[in-house]
Amino acid sequence: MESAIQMLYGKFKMARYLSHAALIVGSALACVSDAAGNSWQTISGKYFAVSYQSQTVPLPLNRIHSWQTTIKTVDDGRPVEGAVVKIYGGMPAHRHGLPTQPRTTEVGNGRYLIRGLKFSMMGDWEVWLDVTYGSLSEKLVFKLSL
Amino acid sequence: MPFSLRADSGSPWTGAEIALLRLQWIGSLEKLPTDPTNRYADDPQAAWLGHRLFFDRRFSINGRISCATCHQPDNNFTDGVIKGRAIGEARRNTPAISGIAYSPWFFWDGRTDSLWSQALEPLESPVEQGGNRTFYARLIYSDPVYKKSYELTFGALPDLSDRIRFPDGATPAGNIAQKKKWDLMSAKDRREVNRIFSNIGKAIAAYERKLLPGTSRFDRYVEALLNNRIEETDATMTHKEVAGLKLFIGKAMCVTCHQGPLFTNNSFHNIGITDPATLKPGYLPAIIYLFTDRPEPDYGRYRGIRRALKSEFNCLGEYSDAQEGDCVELIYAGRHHRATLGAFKVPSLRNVAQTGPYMHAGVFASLEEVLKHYNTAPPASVGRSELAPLNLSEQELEQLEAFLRTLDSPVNAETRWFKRPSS
Repeated sequence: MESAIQMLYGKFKMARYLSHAALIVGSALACVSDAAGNSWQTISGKYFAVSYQSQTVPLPLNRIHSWQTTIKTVDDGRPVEGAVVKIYGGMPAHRHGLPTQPRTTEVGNGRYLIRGLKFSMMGDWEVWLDVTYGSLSEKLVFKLSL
Repeated sequence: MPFSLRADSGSPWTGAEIALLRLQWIGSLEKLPTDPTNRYADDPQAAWLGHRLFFDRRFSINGRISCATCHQPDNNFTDGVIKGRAIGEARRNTPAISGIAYSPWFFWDGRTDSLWSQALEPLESPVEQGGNRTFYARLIYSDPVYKKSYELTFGALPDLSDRIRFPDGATPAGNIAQKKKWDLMSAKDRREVNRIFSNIGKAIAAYERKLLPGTSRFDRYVEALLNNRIEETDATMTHKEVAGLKLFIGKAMCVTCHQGPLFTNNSFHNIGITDPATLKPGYLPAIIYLFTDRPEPDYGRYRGIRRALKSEFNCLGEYSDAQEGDCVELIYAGRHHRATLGAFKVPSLRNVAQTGPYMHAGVFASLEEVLKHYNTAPPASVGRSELAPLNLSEQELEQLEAFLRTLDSPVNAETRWFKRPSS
């Protein structure tokens, strides 16, 4: 019985992901990173502007690493404290998700550390940030190429 | 190193391609990293003991099966059959194990996260070695040579002759009777047995770490290329093989997953392989499995990661020697169905021509069949296949196959590690 439930659950989650993807296209500008990943990359949505830099440069292939990120408001550039940030992503061309399940910890003053990122293949990747602050919620996507 | 080879005379390679070839070259293989989960991983005494345990047929409930029954040294440490045959038939194909110590995950579905915890599973699998924890602990205790070697490496053994404290046939991984015996043991004694059992795995792992991949014709080609020894490159690989290599790192995109000097990214991918021995999932309720003798579909990594997270022998567990910071692969492992459902570990391609049948279910007998699968990319029956059809010509498929045959190489280890120990 467990298997059928898992399959159904999988379909439900897939639908949720597709809706995420639609939101991203609608709400945020994508940003293509340089392959080295050694400079800050910024992406702005409707409410939030997110910047990231990999703590390991150049962006490592097939190795678990962390990103420093800062989240600011688009309106007045204030750091966003206490946001809930979830990380998703994958390789759209290969129809698979991230090989890891990264976790975010807040460092303070609008800075967040994303631990547990890994890009297991060469090619085009997307990292989706699902930022929720109070009643505001937005999905932003970083595009990068390894 | 020169990157502009034969630029004036039509080199087959661009600078970027040469940089990529260098990454695939055995010379780029870093020294085997230490295993923080196993403090005995590089202990010579542990490897000595592990070598003996690997070949010892007494390490099975019927006294006829050892690790080497399926991981045969004369057969590149695999067995040449569709699915491993020991006491019964295993669920999946037997993988080759040279260079396996570099991997963060083990088994086709990555259900263990260390080499030593991998070695424990077949010992207790009813279709492989079929034993149980107290059986193996007592085997070490009752053999004077093993007992001495064990105690030298891991410390004193408890009095395992006490069959009230340590009953025969006790394990939490067995049938109801075995589980009951295990539950009746004291918590301290259960831990003692688990400690001995995990040390058996750690000794076997110390041995398996000696089995490293050797230099292939492909590696000699790249080395000559990097050193601008053009005549040597021409003598090492034929035009057909070079054309296959070009496809491998280019149009056929094999290198996206079969990447690095071991030709694997040690990750999990769904390439749409269906095991004909299992049911197709379809949309039938799972209750159907109760009315058939065919096993349920193979969900691969989706189940594997869940088992790894639950295992008492994982990186974070009591029997691991690692600190929490060493366990990032386990802590951050993806478990979502998008990354795991129907996904299996990317195998190394070193010696690939010698290690068929192929895929987790051993469904392809030849490289030709494997390449045909990639060329047509049929849909997956479990999850979604990540492949898109390559649409290569017959000639291109032959070139790719010719290249794959240049990856043959002997295992790079002292000859004593290939043989059954003499004493």
